[in-house]
Amino acid sequence: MDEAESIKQGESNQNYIERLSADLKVFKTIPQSFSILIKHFWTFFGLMITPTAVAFPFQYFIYRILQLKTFNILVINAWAYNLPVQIFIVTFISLFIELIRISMILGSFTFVTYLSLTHQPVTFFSIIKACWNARY
Amino acid sequence: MMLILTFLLNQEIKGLRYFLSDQEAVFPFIFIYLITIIVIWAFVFIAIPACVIENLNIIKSLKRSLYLPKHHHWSVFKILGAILFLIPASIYLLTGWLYIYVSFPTSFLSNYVLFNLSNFASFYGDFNFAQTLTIGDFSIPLSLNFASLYWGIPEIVRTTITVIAQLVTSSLITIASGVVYFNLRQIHGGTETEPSTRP
Repeated sequence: MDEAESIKQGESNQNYIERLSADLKVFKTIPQSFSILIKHFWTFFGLMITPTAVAFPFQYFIYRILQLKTFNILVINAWAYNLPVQIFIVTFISLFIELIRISMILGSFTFVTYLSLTHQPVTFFSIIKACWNARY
Repeated sequence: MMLILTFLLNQEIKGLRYFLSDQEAVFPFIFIYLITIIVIWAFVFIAIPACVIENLNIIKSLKRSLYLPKHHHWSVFKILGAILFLIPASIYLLTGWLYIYVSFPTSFLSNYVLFNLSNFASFYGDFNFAQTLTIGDFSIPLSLNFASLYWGIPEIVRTTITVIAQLVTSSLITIASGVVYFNLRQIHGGTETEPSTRP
């Protein structure tokens, strides 16, 4: 909300300045984060474990497949089993999966924080609903 | 820029290690490096909540993250620093001390029964416990020496503590970014997080 808008809405100039100069308190933010973490500990735990558990088999099989000779012959025969190419492929795909995993964790954590701060119930369905609504 | 910084720091660390052969000499450089990262991070700290809640694209959410904490970047920096430094450090200190004092009596008894504990003491002896209490062959650190607390305990305990510290820190960072975003929105009058919105 800018100054012109706030004055239009009847907020005094002094109030506007006071509101903006209110400091973002360190000793309020960290305990607030702690309390949210403790309050919804199992939700956060589940939200962290689930994408990790889903991503882990993919990452594992990428490593395993790249160790197979047939795959090497089919895909990277041109480089004659050049190790850096394998490493590049593994790193690239793993990084991609890792990015998806971290994005899922960050997004869901933000939603839980949002629901908790706006005093809405934090349940499995409410998180799914919030994620679903955020598609648009 | 980060790549260049990383490369320079690595070179610096290698050179210093070679020249001084003292690990503690690199601590100031690591500190400067971490401060640089936190400064950059403070500017993009609330990009993810902005992106998720306001449904912005990459550039817009980064811009939002740059301009929403206007006049509050220092606070964001302090919050980030506190979570990144103080919380892992306190976890290490608490668990390290707990481990040493819980395990000490049993280790001391088993010293003469099962195995010779002096091997343990001599193995970790390189790290120079600043003030130690020596009973027999065993010595426990009495000072708040971070390195001795961290390296003086077995690897399995150290790894467990590290994993716990990382999990708590990463979770708190994400939650804090959301809290900071909402607090800033509240300061700017953009969102209502009062109990009146309770369903």
